Amino acid sequence: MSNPSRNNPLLQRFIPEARELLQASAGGLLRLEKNPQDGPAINEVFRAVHTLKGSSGLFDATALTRLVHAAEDLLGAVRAQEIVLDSSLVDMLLDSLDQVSLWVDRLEGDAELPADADGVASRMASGLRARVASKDSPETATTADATLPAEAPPIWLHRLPVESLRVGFRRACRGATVLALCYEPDPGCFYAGTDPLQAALQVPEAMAFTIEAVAPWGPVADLDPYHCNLRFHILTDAPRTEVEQAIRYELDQVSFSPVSARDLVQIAGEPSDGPVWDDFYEAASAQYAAGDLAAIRASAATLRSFTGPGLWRNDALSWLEDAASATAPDHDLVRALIDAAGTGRFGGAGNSTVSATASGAPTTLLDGPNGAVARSILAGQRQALGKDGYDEIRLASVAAVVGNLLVGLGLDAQRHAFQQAIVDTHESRSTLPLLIFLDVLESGGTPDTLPPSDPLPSITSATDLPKAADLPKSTAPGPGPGPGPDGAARNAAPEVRAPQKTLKVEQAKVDLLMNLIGELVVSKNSLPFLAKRAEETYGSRDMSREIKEQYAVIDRLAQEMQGAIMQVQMLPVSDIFDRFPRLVRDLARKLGKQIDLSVEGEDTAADKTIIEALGDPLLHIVRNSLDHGIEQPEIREAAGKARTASLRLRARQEADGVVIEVQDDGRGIDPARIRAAAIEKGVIDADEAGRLSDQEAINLIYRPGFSTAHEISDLSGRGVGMDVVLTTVEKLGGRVSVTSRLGEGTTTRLTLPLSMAVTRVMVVEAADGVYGVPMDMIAETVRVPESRIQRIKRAEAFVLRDIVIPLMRMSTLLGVPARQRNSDEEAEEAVLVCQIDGRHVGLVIDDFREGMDVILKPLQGALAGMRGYSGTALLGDGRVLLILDLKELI
Amino acid sequence: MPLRIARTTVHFEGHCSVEEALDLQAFFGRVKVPKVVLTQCAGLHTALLQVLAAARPASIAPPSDPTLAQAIMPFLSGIGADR
Amino acid sequence: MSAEQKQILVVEDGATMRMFYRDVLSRAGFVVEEAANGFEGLERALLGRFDMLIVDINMPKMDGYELLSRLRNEPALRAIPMVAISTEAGDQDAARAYDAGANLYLVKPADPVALVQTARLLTGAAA
Repeated sequence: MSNPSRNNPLLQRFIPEARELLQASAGGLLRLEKNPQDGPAINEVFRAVHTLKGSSGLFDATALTRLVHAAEDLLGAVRAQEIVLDSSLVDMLLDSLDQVSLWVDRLEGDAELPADADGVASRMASGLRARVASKDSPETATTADATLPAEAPPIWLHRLPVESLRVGFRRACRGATVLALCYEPDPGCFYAGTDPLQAALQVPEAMAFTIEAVAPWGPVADLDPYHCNLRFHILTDAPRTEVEQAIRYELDQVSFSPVSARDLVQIAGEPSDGPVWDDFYEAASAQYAAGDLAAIRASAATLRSFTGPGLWRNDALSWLEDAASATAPDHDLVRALIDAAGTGRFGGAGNSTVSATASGAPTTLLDGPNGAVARSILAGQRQALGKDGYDEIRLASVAAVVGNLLVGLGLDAQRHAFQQAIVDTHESRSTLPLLIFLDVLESGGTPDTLPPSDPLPSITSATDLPKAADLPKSTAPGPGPGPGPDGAARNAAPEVRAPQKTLKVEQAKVDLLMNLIGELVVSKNSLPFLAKRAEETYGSRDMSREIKEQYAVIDRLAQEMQGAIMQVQMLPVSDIFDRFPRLVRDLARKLGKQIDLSVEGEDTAADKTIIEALGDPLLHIVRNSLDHGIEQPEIREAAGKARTASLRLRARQEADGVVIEVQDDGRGIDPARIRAAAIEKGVIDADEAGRLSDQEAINLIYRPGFSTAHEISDLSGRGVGMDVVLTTVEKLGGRVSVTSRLGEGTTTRLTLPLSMAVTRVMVVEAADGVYGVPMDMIAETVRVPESRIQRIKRAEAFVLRDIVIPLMRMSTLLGVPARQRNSDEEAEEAVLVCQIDGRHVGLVIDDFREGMDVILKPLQGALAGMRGYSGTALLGDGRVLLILDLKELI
Repeated sequence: MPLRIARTTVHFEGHCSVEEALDLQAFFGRVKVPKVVLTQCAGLHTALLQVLAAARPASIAPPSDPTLAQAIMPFLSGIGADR
Repeated sequence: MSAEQKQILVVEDGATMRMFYRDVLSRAGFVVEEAANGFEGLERALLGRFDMLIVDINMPKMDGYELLSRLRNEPALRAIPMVAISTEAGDQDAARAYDAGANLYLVKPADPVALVQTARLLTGAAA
């Protein structure tokens, strides 16, 4: 189990589950940050982290488990409302989740964590734990009424050096009021001229003074020295007014907790045992009863002088001496310390290091390979029987378990005694006979040597109760006897809800299905060829017609199948939108901007390939908006805008496409500056720039030569890499448009096809070959008489419905000699009128052919780098069709 | 000059103020085995203290001022011991 | 492996943990059924004929404590051995589980060898 490998199916199951849980936790945390009262969110996050912790324990990933465990504890404290979830806490938790996510990636690749994982886990976990531990100091203690000594002492108290605690304890015993201070300066306080260390050192009569880091230290190079990351804990017995006076400027960042002597007790040392302690316990208890504190002190001092100084109980004696010599002794505390020295436990729990010894008597019955497990099962049955004595319901399963255990261990000889014990138990309405049987079984004696199973008289007193039902006979569940307090449970059963049926399928399987259907669509295309051959080669018109009829049916089915499988491939845009709240939040904090992100239409779905490819372009656009579009709050305020900028991510479905908009209300793009920069960059000349409309000028930012220019980025208000956005989106068959109003904001709109699985192309003949042209590029097809083609210098154009359309010859574009035209042929050119970047272009080709659906495959191998082609498609007759990329070509 | 850097050692002298923080940070970024001498230090700004804490220098000579030494040395040496 | 195959129902919301139980127990000859939440667990336990139930404590909606207590109060399930499994090693959690009707409280991830031994002993299956 502890040797995961690539072939470990359990690990393979774990990885997707872990990712899902991490995603759910991160999402929940962000919701919580917005609304800390979101109960379902905290439960969701807590549970996701909890499940992750449990599952991760199955693998050799202790560092991961440790970190997740720390996060779980912190979330537990948040859920219990012990600590408040603030932004810094969310940051820490998100960082931890990110780390875990990295480790999950590592597990997937290498089946083990990186070598530094332990160190990273300890550092991050202690950071998280520090927040759990400090839960009583900064947030809650300030609101608590400090005059009430009954409140729980701050947990950090026990992180103070024990010598300081001892000093405080003695002063408290002498009647001083000891104050515990936690001073957590505002992180930005250095800018206000505060020096927290100096301020903290002003606290008078400090008995303890400790400094700790609020968040764990990263590498020193990453440290922001002007961001205060320290917290101070101080113990003082100066009067509160004096303390307050000393740090009067920092009061709102200091919490005061009065602590009692008892709060300061911290006993440490090795466990020990022996009659001297029992003797002392007896003597001191008597002295306590007599109220003779001096005698107690003397007894303690004496015993302490001849027991080992490193012992826990010895240490307890020293605290006791101080407590007993107090000017105003706390009698309960003295009693508790006598108990501590006498029994090895202070306050009933917690501090004692004395470990409970397990009874390890060797036995005959329970020896063997299953012995240890059998013992723990038997111990469990004692607990399962409950504290309330005879309970018919509890008895049933315990009897079944013990019976099964005897069978499993092969202890047939004991079964009779066991059945007798059960009968006696029911008759006496007491668990005693069964408990005795268990005792005997555990201690290795023979249950047959049990005392006669006469029920004890004191127990049979309950005979007026109804007799017990039949003994449980076997583990096989049968209909129960009926009477019993189980009516309520019955009613609960109908609450069972039908779970939503979803099936998780590997992406590869869907891809395969998709490919197969693609092949089907393509093979189906061969039927018209077959029909043609049937008619032309074999002269059978009937056969040809029948094939065409069959083709129509198969065509319809194939299209429906394609539609259905495309539905499977559809993902909601929330898949990418979900990253943005976190991203925007982090970036905004980093940039010191205030941004309100709103997301609309996240249910809008599109093909998975599109959704997945869209992440990066969107990221660019959003980042640019944050970096350059949205102003600092002060600038906004000065411009008469709200300090908080709004950033909207919207998705909606339109016709057969998806529209995604990123809209900000930032400073907008200045067309004049764009023009100037474009001229300077040599992207366009001054004349051209003058002719551009504002909108056209804005569009310039997507010109490769323009937007990759670094020095432009700040001028334009848009950053680098916008041409990348354009390229990606256009590869997906989409469009990008930007509208902007200076001073009011910018909207970037991406329009994408719903699916890119199937492309409709028109097959054209040109330059001695057959090519495919994507249908969405083609505005119309016209045949233009030679006479109507006008030549302006070397360029050609024709007029179509009063619009001059430039003409280009495909043969020229492809670098192939133009087809020789027969002289008798009618002088007419086939022209594809295409729409490219909003402009119309006429492409002269040899002839039009049919339109068809194809599965577009990107160019591969030697062809991969070829310009002018967007891919290939397989034709029904087995030939490969090259699909032209007109944008590149022209 | 409150912060004096001599090769791999930085000496704190007198009252060291917040303005020195970036220089100190740069020093730790530059020097592989940095040493810190606080002997002559009469006081240091919190910003410097946290740079020291984050940098975990190989050795720190404590301030001769006992109050300051008591206040900061357990913190600084505790951090070193943790890792 | 064993002549009569004992049936175990695992109620656990973590997919990886479920797979772990199924792997370990079915390799040891048990017939394992799974339920991913408390409601499903309750339903399956009532409909099936199990020799033992394994119940995860921390589950959404209906947690393990509640499930244990509902199961235990079903007359048909009164005698069925139930194992509560949780990541928490605390005495209080164990006490709560026993109080709710568990016969055994294990801390997860359970050692597979011990898990099989436990299942065999609790169901009386021959090793």
